[in-house]
Amino acid sequence: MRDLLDLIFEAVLNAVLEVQNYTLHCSRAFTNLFHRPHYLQETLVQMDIIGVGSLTIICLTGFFTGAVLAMQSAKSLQSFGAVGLTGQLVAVSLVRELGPVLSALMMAGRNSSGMASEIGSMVVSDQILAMRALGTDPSKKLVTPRLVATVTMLPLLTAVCDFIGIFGGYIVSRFLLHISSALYWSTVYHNLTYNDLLEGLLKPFVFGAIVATIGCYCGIRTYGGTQGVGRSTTQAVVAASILILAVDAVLTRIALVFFR
Amino acid sequence: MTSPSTFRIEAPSAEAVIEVREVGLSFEDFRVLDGVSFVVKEGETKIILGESGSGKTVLIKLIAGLIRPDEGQIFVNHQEITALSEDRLMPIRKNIGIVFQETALFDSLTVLENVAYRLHEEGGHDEVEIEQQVREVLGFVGLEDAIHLMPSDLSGGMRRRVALARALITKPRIILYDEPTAGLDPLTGRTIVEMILKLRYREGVTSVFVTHRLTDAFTLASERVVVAGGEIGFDTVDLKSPQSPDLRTSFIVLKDGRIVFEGNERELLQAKQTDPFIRQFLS
Repeated sequence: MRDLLDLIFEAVLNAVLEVQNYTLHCSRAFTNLFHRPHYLQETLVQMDIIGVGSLTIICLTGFFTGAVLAMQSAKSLQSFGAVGLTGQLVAVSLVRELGPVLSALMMAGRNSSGMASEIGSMVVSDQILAMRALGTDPSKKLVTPRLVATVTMLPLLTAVCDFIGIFGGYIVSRFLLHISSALYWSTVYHNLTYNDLLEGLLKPFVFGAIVATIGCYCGIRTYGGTQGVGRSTTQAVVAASILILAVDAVLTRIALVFFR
Repeated sequence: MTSPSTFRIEAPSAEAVIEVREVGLSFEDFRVLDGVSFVVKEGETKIILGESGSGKTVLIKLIAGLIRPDEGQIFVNHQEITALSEDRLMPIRKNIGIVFQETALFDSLTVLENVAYRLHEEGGHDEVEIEQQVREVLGFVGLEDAIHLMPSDLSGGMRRRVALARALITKPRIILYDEPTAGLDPLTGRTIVEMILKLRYREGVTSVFVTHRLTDAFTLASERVVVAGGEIGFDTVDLKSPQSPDLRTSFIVLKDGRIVFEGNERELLQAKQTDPFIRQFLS
């Protein structure tokens, strides 16, 4: 019994320690913005890797999500004789919820893992130590540029995902459900409010910060050689995905209060 | 026995460039270093010998401020670095060059970018000037032709030489070598040691050389550069002769995180007769 209590105490202690370290890591990454040196070139490179590099998967995700959403919602709407509202349902679901969350999850899969494995490999091959020995703060050089790049790119990618998703819904509505183009686009246009757009475009800023900070944090705390790099990569994807979904629940509740 | 509080008010030795005082460090339950104290004077080469796992590499990382000791103090250029923040350690590290055991070259950067890394970080240098400096230092390590290659294109010995060039680019006055010849064939290992000898002759840098290869340690201690008719050669000093010149090389032998020997090469050879561990280690 005592052993079990000790184990539970140790697990709780480790979890608290982990949260503390992650908080410190995030606060350093953020405060680096106000301290020299700033790595603009590095930030632009990361924007290209994270933003332009993720464009294809974001477009594919958006298109197929919109298409499936149109098919599924049309089936439900049919029983109320309201198939004509498919455009509205697709647009509001995508813009408020699915666009931000799915884009963020795809970014977690692609970029959190990439960051964790890249930085983790640098840790196990002593490149991070060498960086510090050569007078560079790894947090400023590696973490902050990735944070800035992800936080700026994810809202843009989400906007692209939303549009492509609505377009995917249109293709299904027009060619499978035989809804007229005018009806589809007018229901989309008239039922999307600024509050929908605001909620849908504010969430990605928070999700972007989660993707970057979790990816970099898991990378920096890598230990145990190549096996450790694999472990960090998996942990980054899992932790970022779960945190995105949990934070989404909180943000949605807040948004429902402020942006009805 | 001196209490830690007494240590805190003592000033570092005037001649000491590096001073390690009663340093101890544990990783979880494993005691890595225990009460380690030594001084490295200006222009001196301190060779740290010891078996694998005796705490040699940890000592190098401590001197560079890359990890903190659990107890004790470390002074570099008369400044205590033990409690300094990462930001305040940066200017101190500018005077220190480190050659890591596994080279730690940035594998996504070319040789030119690796060697020029510190210059790019410092800023204020134009690209032409940077390339000129990199070519100069690569010329010293005999790798000028490899300037545009990636680290993955280089052999083990070449990687060590690039790591040496990277450590030398800003002409630091302190150089820390962490097993720079480990895993190399004897001939390549000898080439690296000759470069270190030439560097000591040319720049008079203070250095700490960690190794478990006795051949390299004794080459550093017993050989010196001689220049005759513009040609650079190496002259062996008879260590047993009382007239042999002081090359300012001294040894430390670590065992299980503690110093079991400190002295010059002659004293080390004498200790071999009396100390069973040193006899076993040197044989």
